[in-house]
Amino acid sequence: MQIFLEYSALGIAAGGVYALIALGFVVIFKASQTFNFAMGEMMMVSAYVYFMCVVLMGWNWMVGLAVTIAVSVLIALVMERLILRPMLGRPIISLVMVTFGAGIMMRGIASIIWGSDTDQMPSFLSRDPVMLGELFIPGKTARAFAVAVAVVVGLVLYFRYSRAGVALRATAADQTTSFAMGINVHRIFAMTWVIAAISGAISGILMASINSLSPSLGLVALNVLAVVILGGMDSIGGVLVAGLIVGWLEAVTGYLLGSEWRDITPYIAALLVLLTRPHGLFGTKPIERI
Amino acid sequence: MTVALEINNLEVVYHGAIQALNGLSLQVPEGEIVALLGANGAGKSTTLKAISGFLPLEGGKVTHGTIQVGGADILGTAPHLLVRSGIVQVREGRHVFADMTVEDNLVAATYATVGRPAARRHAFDEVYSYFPILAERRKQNAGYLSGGEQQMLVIGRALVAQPRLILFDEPSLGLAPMIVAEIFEIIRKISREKEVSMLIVEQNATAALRTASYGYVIENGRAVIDGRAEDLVQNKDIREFYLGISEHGADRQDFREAQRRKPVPEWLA
Repeated sequence: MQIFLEYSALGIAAGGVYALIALGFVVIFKASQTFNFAMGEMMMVSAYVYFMCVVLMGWNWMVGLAVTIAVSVLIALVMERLILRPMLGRPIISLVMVTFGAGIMMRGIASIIWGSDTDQMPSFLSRDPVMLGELFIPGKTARAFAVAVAVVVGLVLYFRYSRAGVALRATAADQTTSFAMGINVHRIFAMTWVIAAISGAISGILMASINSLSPSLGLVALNVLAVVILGGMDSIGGVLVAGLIVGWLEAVTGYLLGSEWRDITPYIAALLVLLTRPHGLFGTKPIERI
Repeated sequence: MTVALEINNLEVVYHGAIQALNGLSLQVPEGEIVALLGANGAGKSTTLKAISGFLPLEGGKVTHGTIQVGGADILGTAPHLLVRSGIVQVREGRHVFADMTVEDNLVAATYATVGRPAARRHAFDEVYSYFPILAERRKQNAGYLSGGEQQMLVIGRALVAQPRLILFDEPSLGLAPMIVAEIFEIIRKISREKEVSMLIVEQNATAALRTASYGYVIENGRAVIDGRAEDLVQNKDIREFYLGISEHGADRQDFREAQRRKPVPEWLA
């Protein structure tokens, strides 16, 4: 029982970062119904930028973080403006393929610049383990969880109660009407990419600190797909719950059934949820008036 | 008399092939309500979209003519910037944000006042005083409102935008006659109290002419009849083809007989 609980805590802690990554997917999907397959690569590039700032330049971690977020936001805005905006109005599949291609390009460029070897990321998170009663949780994982959840909850509250959140939901619901009410829809799209860039930068750095840094760091983002589907593609609050569920499922099935089950259980769970709730756990069901 | 909206010789082509407007000219005097009547496909909605800047989104293009609001040329201005200058369109089919609360629908409308001094709380109170039912339902999802309440909400959103010109596209669409009367009553009240100029596109000519001070009938993309509302109501063709009032007293005629009796006037064909 003790071990089970320890695995559970570990899984939930890892789920916090999943939630943060998933948030990056969901916020873009919500506004423009586009699935950003370059999300993982945005994380990876951010992690490398942070690595350069802190290791190669020797800057303080806070300066490094600020620079990383600034660079990530800039990259996201350039992607949105140069690659996605000209594609607006095209079939969704084209938009998705463009993000997919952008992701592959970023991975290739990263290999050229930083090499495809694995680097060790210096962590700004303390290694001191956290004791939760009898439970032992590794220091970095616990602190990464705290950071990730704080960022997710902050953004969820921001979108729930701010005027920008209302504009985002309005844009998600009906772009033409939003336009007709004075909402600059293009700016809302850009804003979602900025949010995704911030969540990508922080989750990228956290991921690299917990594990290690290589151009394939971004592949973890594809595992988060299950989180996004489970939570409901357009539910910003849903990703938090779904992220924790998936993290927990992975850890617990890994412990009970062996690590080969780890990767597929989130998808089995997502499939089961979809069979009963086609819009995910918290996704929007369209209101039908009769 | 100052002119709020002036359209001169407007021509609009969709997809480079379909001529939707063909030299339309009309005027909305400051503070007045003007009705734009016509059959399906006459070009009523196209006129509104040309004013509100939505044509390019639907593959339409103004090929000739001018549109001026308050004397300033507005052709080619992006829709959200037009709204922010007080030119507000209430689109056909209501388009409330169904998954958002009534109040959040109004909050979204405050974006229309970006760049202008806005008194947000005050604007909401005003909406709620025109439509008390919305105040009761402010925390409900707009999707669960009745059709009439949804129409009130979209008019409320237009009010929040601090409009000087409102373009209504079929405000009576799909509503029960009693609700239609109520909606038009409030539209008239708003125009009077807030001194807002309005252009109303309608299929329901009776309601529209009762509300407006002036009316235009458009056919094949140009205005074929115009005049003061009380004169239009007396116009024989309009009575027969838009108001459904037969000049032949009580003897009911079937459709075939009506066709034989009187050829459709040229502007209706």
